[in-house]
Amino acid sequence: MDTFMRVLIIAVLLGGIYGLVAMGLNLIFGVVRVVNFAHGELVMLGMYGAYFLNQVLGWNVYATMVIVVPAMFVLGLIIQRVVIQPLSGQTTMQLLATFGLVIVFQNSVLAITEGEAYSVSSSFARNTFDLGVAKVDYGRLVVLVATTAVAVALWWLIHKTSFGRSVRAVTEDRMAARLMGINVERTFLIVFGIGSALAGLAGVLLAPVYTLTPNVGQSFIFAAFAVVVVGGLGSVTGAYLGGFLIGLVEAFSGYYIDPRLGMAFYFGVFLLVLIIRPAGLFGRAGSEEMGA
Amino acid sequence: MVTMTEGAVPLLECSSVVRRFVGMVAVDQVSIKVNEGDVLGIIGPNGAGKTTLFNLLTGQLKPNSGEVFFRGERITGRPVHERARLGLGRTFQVVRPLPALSVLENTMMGAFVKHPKRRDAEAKAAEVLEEVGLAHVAKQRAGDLPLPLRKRLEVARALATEPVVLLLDEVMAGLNPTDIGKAVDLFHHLHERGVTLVLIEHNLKVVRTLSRHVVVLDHGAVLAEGTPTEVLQHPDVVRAYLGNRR
Amino acid sequence: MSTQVTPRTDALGSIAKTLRGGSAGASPALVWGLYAVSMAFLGLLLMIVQVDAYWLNILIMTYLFGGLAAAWNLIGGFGGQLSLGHGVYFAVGAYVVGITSTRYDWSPWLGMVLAVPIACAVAGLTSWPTFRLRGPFFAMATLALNQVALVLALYFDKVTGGPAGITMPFAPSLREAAFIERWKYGVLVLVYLMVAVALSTWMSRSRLGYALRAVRENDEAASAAGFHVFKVKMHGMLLSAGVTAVGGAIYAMYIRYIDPGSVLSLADVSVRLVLICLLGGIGTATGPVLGALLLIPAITLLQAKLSSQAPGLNLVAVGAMLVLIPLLMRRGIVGTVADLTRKATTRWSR
Ligand SMILES: Nc1ncnc2c1ncn2[C@@H]1O[C@H](COP(=O)(O)OP(=O)(O)OP(=O)(O)O)[C@@H](O)[C@H]1O
Ligand SMILES: [Mg+2]
Repeated sequence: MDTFMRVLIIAVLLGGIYGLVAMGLNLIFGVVRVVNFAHGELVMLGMYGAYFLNQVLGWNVYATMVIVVPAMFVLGLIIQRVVIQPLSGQTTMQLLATFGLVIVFQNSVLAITEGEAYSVSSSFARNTFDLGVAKVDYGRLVVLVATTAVAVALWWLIHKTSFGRSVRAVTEDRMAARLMGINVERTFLIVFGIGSALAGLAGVLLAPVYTLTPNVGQSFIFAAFAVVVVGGLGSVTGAYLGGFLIGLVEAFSGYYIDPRLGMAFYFGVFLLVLIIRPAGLFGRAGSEEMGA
Repeated sequence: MVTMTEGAVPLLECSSVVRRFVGMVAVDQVSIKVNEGDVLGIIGPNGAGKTTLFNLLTGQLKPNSGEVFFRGERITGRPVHERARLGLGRTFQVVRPLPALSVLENTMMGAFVKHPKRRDAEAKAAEVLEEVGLAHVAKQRAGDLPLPLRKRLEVARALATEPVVLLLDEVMAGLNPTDIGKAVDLFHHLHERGVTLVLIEHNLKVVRTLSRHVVVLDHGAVLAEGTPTEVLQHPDVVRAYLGNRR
Repeated sequence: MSTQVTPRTDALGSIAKTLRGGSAGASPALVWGLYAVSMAFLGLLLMIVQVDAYWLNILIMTYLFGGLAAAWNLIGGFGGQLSLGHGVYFAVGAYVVGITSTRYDWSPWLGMVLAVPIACAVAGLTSWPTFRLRGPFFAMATLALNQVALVLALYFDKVTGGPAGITMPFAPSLREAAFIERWKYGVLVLVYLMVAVALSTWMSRSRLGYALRAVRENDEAASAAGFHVFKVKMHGMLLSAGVTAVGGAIYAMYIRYIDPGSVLSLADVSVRLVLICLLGGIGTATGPVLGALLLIPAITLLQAKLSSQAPGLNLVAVGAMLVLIPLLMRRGIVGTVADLTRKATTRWSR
């Protein structure tokens, strides 16, 4: 029973991480209808940003978010404006271009750091908190809290603000939104910015938790894809809950079967959901036919 | 009312088909019969369920209840491509050209049904393009065509399958009077050639000239049925149209 | 409206069309004539290059990847099913040869033959569910397959040798497909490329090729025109997977070392095939060859030149290509050239 609880706790913490990364991805996915393969790399850039400010300027890691988050917002605007928007309507080309960004970002960082791995030291994040059955480090706990806060904030943004109203209108029907006088391109731009900013936030929060390598983004992105598919296209709640589901699958299959197979298992779930309910567990039916 | 030859099996028939979408019934207990050689007009206000009915006949959608028959054979569960091979040709209201391919290639796609060899399919397609008056743009990309020609390409691709019955979904919407005239001539010609036609049309003048039998749909149900003149004087029809003007 | 087409412009137009791969109208003699000429050119190139071991190696990889890209193009280009998981079929080819030859002392040639049905079975089983997905969802699912295959190949080390991989002994003989004369590998990959391109050329003119293009352009219109969309995609995929597996088998014969990190690498296999087609022209019969002729030497040279300066710099260039080609030349070299000639011919024929 203790082991079970311990694995459960690990699963929940892991789910928080995946959910955080997935929410930004899913926001972009749901609204702009672009699968941003480079989302994991945006997280990675956020991590390196936090590391840089922490090491060079001596800032507290968590404080670096005041710079990293806006910077990633701007990077998101640039990607949307320069790469995604010119390719609007060409799903395949958008997909390949974002894949190109993955390779560019990963290898630029590799070239600059010459392959050396870094880690951010934060005594706070390393401190553990005893839950009886398991010790939980504050770093991961912060992620879990932040994931929940972000989910609530996003929900509020989308459902309670006027910007959210235009986001929903654009998601529902672009053409109609345009006729209603909503500036669709601008909405896309801002949403892409917000999604990237969330990746930046995830980067800052994960910097003390993970060792920094140029391809660290891959450790979350595949899980985040699974989350998006499981949770449903464009659904905030889906991404939040889906994160935990994938976390559970990975932690339990990892503990009870073999950790090296964790990914194969959640991909199994991913494929299963794609097949049984392509719109995801929380998404609207029919939305999987995007690009058609 | 137009009476059918008793005992003859209708070419295409649906009986009490129902199709629901979230929170609505798009097609509600509709039964229609199309005999060989008919030109059946389907009219009705926007959102009446005309296109949905077509989708049920051709298999793009499956009915929640009710049956579809072709030459007396039940085809309710059969997939779209099988029905196309049986002889159900259709055009799409929202045109679906294969944009990167040429007009000739677009038309060939239909021709492969009866002509598996490329060369034969190409010859058939060229013939159809001649018939519908698209031969002069045969080598252009379908995506580059103006809308009236894209509408005609829909007809060409359907016609290339050599259908027994051709379902035409608002092929004249958005055309100017000259193009409408040409299209009417084409459909007269096809009818004379023996193709059975079912056409959804908003333009009542066109319906009057082409079809002797009309079905009026409103809110998914058959509101009236009969000759164009009868039907268009029917008080319910007048009300439905006046009440739902575009 | 009717345009007067002079014989000269018509010939030009049909060559352009032939290159593009949409060859309705181009005569078989012209199409296969062009094929013969280009293959003869590639043969000549091999004869010239084979004196230099460094360049011969590059050329061998070029022809191998040209054939692989042509195989990907069958479903990815003609059929528009953007598979990011072709590394799986490549790996099946390589592993079947590696395992059967080291463990059971099979001739690699026999392994190659066995690899085809196995790859087709894998492709059939995985495509059966994933073909329901469209656009990015299909791409994501196939990418997932590649990653799952990687995890499994690393995990089942009893079968695959795990991360350490499989080394095939080099005992020179035809039976072992091990040649001291490296040019023989050149002939092998040339034959492979010829078969793959012949298949694409045939495909671009066959009913299946048209059906795949119809499905790519609009699957609902395709089914209304009488095509069984699922079956069409499946046939394209099986053909593609089979040819890809042969390429993987040839890779194993040539490199004689197979490990998950190389044969299931996204950047070096799955994505590279897409990039080659993208550069040459997705969905054209000749695009994959042209793309490989440019990309593989470029990648190899970049790797030699740039990675000595900083690790990964060569891949930055590769990634940049993947971003820039869609933005600047999304129809690839062949498509762009065909567009230009089309413009030119319509101008002259006015
Ligand atoms: N796939 C679908 N999902 C949900 N609702 C649908 C779907 N297709 C049609 N509907 C709804 O069903 C109703 C009937 O639509 P349909 O397209 O059949 O009407 P129509 O008579 O063809 O109209 P129009 O004259 O505008 O073409 C409409 O209210 C429409 O919104
Ligand atoms: Mg309609």
